[in-house]
Amino acid sequence: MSGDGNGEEKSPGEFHEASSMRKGVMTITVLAIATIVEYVVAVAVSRALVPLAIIAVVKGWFILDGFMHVKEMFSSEEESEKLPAELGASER
Amino acid sequence: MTVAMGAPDLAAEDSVGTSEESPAERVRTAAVGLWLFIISEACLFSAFIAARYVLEGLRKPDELDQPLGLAVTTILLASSFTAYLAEAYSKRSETRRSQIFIWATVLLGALFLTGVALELTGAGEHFPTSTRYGTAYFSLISLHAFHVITGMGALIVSWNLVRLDKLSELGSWRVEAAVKYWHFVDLAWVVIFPTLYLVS
Repeated sequence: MSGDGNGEEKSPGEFHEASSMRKGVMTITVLAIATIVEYVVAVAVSRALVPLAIIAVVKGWFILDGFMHVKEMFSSEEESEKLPAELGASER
Repeated sequence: MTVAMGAPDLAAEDSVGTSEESPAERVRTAAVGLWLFIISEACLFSAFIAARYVLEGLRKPDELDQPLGLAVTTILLASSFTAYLAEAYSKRSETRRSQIFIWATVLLGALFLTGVALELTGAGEHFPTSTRYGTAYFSLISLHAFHVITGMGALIVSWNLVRLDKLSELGSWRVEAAVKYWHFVDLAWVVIFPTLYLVS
């Protein structure tokens, strides 16, 4: 968190933080939009079981992937053992 | 035989019986255990959700306060984001920010419980537990509320470990585990909210 925006190159840690923050913001935005759509569909449409189920599955996937990092469980051991700084460097 | 008095040595406790495993291996093993626990919890919630549909089909009472349901859903989603930030900062060893976001998550959890308590107060008058919908509603809401409370407890424990700088060689895993559990509580609500408040 030492970036002062004066043209200095970002460290891997800072890059990782920005990338991580972007993913979190994207996930919460999708979840918020999906929740609003879900509510509108439920109020406006009668017998909305199928669309509501689809929206719930989409929201569930975004939580699992975006917040819970479920894919890490299926990644190789070497990859999951990388330090955050190393991950940041590889993303660059 | 002498007995050591005073505070237990957490680092020593961590190494008991696991001397051959590296910290990374231990974290991976713990992660597998946590995911198995989460899957078993998901099975429990699935049974309660299925019971709601078996008991009442797609019917729901008109008296349900849907806007309040939406409000508490929004609060819980917001708490998932603060939990995510707490984990991210913990991984970067920014303990102060991590602590702030852990507490933000706990406070949002408390706000969620307050909203649920308000809803339960009104719901008891319209569909008491003696009705079929009331049985499904109160059991599912109570089960979830219990998980919210335990999640808050886990977050407070992880906050204390961060505060005392006792994360040991496992790094940020203990915060990560509490946060993952919190996300699961949010995930369960993603299914419970439409099941109880929206489907008709």
